[in-house]
Amino acid sequence: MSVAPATPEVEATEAPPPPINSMRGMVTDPAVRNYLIAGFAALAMIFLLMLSNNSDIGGLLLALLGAAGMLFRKPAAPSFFLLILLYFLVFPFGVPDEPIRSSFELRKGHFRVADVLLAFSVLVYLACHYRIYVITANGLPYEMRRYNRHARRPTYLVRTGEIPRFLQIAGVVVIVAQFAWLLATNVDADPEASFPFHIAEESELYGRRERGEMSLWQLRLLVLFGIGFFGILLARLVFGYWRLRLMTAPEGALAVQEADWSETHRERVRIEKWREWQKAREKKKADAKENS
Amino acid sequence: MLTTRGWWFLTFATLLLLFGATVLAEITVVPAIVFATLVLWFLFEWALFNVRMNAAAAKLTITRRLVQGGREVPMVWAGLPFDVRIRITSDSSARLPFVLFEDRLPQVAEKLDGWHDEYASITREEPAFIRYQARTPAPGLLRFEGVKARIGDLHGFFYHRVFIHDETEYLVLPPLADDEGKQRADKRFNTLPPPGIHRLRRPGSGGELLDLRDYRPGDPPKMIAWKASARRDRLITKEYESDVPVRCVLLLDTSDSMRVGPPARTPLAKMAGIASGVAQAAAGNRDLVGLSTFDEEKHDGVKPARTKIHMIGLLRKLAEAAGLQPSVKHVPPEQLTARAYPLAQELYPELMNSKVNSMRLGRLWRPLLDRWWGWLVVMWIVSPVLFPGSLFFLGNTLVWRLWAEAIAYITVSFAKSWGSPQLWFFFLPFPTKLFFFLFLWVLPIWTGLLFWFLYGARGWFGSKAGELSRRKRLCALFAVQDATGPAGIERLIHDDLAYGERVGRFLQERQVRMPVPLYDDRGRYRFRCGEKAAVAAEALNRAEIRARDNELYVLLADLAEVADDDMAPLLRAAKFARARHHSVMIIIPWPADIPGPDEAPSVVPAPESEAPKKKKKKKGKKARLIDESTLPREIKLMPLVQAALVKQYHEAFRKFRRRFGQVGATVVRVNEGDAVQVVLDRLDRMRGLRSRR
Repeated sequence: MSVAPATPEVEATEAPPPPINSMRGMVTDPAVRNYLIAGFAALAMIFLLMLSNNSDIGGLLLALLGAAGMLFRKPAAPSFFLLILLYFLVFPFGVPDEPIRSSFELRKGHFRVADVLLAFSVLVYLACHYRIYVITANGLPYEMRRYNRHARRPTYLVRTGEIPRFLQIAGVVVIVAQFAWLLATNVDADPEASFPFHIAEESELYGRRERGEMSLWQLRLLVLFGIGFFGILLARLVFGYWRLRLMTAPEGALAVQEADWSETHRERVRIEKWREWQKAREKKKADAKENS
Repeated sequence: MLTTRGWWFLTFATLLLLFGATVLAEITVVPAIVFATLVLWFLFEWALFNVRMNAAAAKLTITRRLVQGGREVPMVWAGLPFDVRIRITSDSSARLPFVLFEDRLPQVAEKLDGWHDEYASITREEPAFIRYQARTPAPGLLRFEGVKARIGDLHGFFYHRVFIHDETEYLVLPPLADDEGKQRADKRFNTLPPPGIHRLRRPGSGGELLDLRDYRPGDPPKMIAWKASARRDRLITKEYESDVPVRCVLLLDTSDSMRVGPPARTPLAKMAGIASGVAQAAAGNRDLVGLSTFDEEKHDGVKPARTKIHMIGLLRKLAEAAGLQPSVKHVPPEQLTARAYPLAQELYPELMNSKVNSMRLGRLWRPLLDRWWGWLVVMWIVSPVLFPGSLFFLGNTLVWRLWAEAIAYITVSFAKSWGSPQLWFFFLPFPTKLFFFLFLWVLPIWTGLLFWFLYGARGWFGSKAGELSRRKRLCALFAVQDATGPAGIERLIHDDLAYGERVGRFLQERQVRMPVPLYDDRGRYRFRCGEKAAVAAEALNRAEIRARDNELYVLLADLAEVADDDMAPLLRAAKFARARHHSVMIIIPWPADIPGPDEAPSVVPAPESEAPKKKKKKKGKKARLIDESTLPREIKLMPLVQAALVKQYHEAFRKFRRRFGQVGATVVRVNEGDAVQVVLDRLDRMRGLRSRR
């Protein structure tokens, strides 16, 4: 009874997939393709929003730069993207002229649909860019010489529903950021009050500031710093305590040992020097005895 | 925890947020809102990563299995491939979305197939697996440290590294001889007794007739040779030969000189392989085999036996011996630190973290008063106080007067050259003369303090500071492991010998080879250890005491370069063994870079001055890529030195062979044919010689 030979023709037709760090590979792979589509959609939204702000050149530039950054896996692209975005938000026509200053922006600049959409789109684009970069270029920092190779996140680790989950998080973050900005622009400081901060009325805040009062930009800076500082402090405390709870016995022993050592190292160094002196003296004596 | 990408993003977004919130807010609030969103998102990702780290990274566990021959094994055979299967599980429901697990390959193992690293997204329900095939070329010890986990987030902003410890040691047994190998003894004589037996020509209870003698009262009647008795007309008794087994005792040298070399390719590993081959082949012939290991200080033996359990014990002992590493006694501490520090960082990232294991600046400060002249600096600093004091106690001395007058003179000179009647300090007028007087008065104080500071601060910079910091962190790790506390840290920092011993142990336990210096400061070979000959002699004597009949002693030892005086006890022991009709065989490991004494000697290049000039001219410039005249003197001399060393080694070997040949011991080189076969032939001959009439 003969066994039919394996058909090499069938195997030969299955060409290996293109490498993931090539443009064709990125487009072919479904995981990267989905991120690309999400990123392009965000860029398209940014283009439309900039266009509605009379900044057609800015929108085009941002879309082109963002798309190129994703496709060519350029890690510096987001920085340039943010700088260009900042420039065209201040100068929508691209021509640096004298901008108009008014308190209207501060008073009414909350929860505007265009702003929310822009923040959301920028966030989605940046996240897509970085995620694509981690998948196609490098995801972990270089450690030692022998590990100096690219550690890319394999596409089989990209789970279904990863993009929708991120979009939900992005939506929440955008809303929270709006609230934070609302807080930063509506808080006034009163050093004489029992609690120095309070939500101020619009007229109180944007009316004439008395001499000695903090200016509005100082106030915003203070509030933003305060939110950031105390938020991070709280988080550090929580995570620090959690970390202490997880500490292993050797880590605990090392922590105690370090505290002890830092307090007593001067005395210990002195003792060791005396020991060295003693050893040297004994050796000298032994040598002298041998020679005699 | 933050990567470079993360730092860049955070810095960039925060600066733009501040710029947008302060300068641009009255023009447009959009930048502030956008960048506030980005910063908030970053903080969210940071918090999420921290939650994942605390919840999941500390709860990773691994299970390792070694599979050889289709089943899980507690030890592996050298030279045969085995599968390493690792299952990594997490006890947490939190997911680590991007982890690179990497199993740390033992130094002695060679990976054959598969990957020892694996990317995974791990949670309680989804464990990760690593599977690869490896092999160890020589017997010894296979130590797995654990698996390194490099954890990142989805954007490359955060990074954390943990090491999941799973210190497991597997014995690598010498390769088992196959069916063919078990029958390596050549059958030279048809009168060979059954396996495991040889006939001793002494009266006993064997099957072969030895002699006939007159009947003695008490002899059993069945031993009476009736025909012979009838012929001689008196009672004659038959005497039979004794049936005794052949015994072989292997004496393996495990001293430092045998341990030097690349992992799994040391002379010791090679000798252990030979010993294993001999033991298994002898056991296949049902001969008894014993083993004794010795080094410079002690010896340890196993009595000859032939059971399976004994054989497994023997192989285990050989594997343990083959895994020994040379001591790092004379290696400079800097080299030890350079080798041990990266290893410690890799294996104990949590204990080597600079947040918990750091070096204080105060500890790096160079104390001035450790020098005798430091007290002179102190005297110089306190001199402005000492001089008035001396004036009070000693009166108006000449030194004091000279010093005070000198200050006064310089003060006036400075004040004159300055020109202005007063100086302004913090909008206050200050008399010039008073200023210069005070300046000169406290000159010793501030110059002395400045010198003190500069001298002490030198300890913060330079390679020594880095070396001391690394050493301290290593010492802190060892102090935790040995539970010696902070006293242990300073002891190891100050005591180079203790530090070398501890680091050496750390490296040896983890099978990291340290390049040990072969020659001492005076150019002498460090491993020419004479003491081991005496220990070997002791081991041989001990084996002889236990001996019953004619036995074979095989010394697998590096003795060629041992001095004559040190060799005397071993020669005596060999002579004694021969006197008791035992056989002694010595197998010498031969260095790989030295040709055998019977091979063609390497051509020693003649010095340049003696080289024929004509040939030089004929070669031409093009043929010579390197101009030898430009080479350093050391490189030019290298062939000569090497030739001299080879000659010296050959001489030593010939002398050694001659001396032991005189007492009847056989000396063979390990690369001189098949060493196992040579030993088995000798065993076979011992068996056969006695059976020939």
